[in-house]
Amino acid sequence: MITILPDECLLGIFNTLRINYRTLFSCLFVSRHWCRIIISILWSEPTKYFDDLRLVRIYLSALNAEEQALLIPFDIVLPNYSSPLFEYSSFATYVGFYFVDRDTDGVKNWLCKEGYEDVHMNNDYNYYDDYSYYNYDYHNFNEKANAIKYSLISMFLRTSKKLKHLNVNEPIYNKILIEKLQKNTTITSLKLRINNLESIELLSEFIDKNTTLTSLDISRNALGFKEMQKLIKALHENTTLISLNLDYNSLFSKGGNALAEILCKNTTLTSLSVRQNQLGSQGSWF
Amino acid sequence: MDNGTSNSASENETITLKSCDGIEFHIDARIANRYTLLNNWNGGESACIPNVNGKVLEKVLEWCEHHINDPQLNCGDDDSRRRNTIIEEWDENFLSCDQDMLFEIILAANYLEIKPLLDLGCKTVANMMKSKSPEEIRSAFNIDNDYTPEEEEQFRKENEWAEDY
Repeated sequence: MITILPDECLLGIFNTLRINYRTLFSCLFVSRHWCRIIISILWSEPTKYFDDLRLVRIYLSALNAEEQALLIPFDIVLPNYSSPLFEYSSFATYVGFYFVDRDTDGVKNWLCKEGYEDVHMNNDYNYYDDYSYYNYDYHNFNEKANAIKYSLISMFLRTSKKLKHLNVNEPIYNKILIEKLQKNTTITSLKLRINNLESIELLSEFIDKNTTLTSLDISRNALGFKEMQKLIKALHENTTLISLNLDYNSLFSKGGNALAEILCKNTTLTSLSVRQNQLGSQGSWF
Repeated sequence: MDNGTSNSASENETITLKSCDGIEFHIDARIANRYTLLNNWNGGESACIPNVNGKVLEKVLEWCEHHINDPQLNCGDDDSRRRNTIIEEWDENFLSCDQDMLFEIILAANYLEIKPLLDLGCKTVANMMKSKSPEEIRSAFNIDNDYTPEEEEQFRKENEWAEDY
């Protein structure tokens, strides 16, 4: 009888099925006992891309009052969802948001389903058609989507004790986001690409104090040397970061030199990417 | 690199293990060298492995013997081990025993910390579940459904995304 197996063995079996969502889904309904073991596996990574609006719906139904309040300025009213059977967000290990088109963005998809499409929007809206695209108040719609995404990220930071990877590769409230991150001690990999990073000071402070982060990617933020200097300074004190990506940040030769200095002293950093930074001939030691 | 065949044990050395029901096995010392917990029960006249009976221990040792020349896996390689769902033909035949024996082997491998055999057992059971409905899995493993219909319905709604993932 399979009942002789202890939970740790069952966990081993279900872990083998980690990416086989369909089978895990079936196993989930076998018994309550199995469910308790599987639920944390099943809900650990569906948040990697957030492309399914049904997932968005479940997570939104679990926002606390503070997180819900973030949506008020944007006139977003959550429907009366019943509260879920589990705190699903607490199982998340990988959360990622990317700037993608509406069809593959679960949050934007949810907004459309809930009727938040802008009034100016052309009925014949077609993402690939320039004419309808310009008639569409894209900015307003995006702001709404960003507010929701930020409230969701807040929830994941609040509830998940297992969150290891956070990718916010689109411009979402990076200032308050980094403020929130200061308290986090589980994330080992952080990506803030194309994020319009405006609070490099805060980020530098974070890098300075943080002892869990091993990989940071802030590429494509066009930060410039002046801003980046602060971050480079923070690297002096950091002894946990192994990989750093600074591509497309206009570092120029000054930045190259400052980084070279760090590399002489820092012994933990083993991977540094600085493509497309106009480091110039002085920076050519790379 | 230490592949478990060097140092203290030469090829002809054997050690004695005793199952919980008192059956003795004389095995190649290299096997015990490789799996620390087997080594723990080596030697002592009356020492026997608790919780593992002769029938199961025989199977476990048969597997160990067949795989004695396998390269040792690095610890912490959990993910890559897990992703590899291919099962060799010999192993497949070895584990195509009845269900009860399969679970006993998994239990023993877990207890004796024989990781590769534990993984193999887990994969085998997992493969038995693939593309089956909850009902089919329940009847395959003789498990009772203890969900209430209401609970099941709400739970289905919350997890339906996984069904067409």
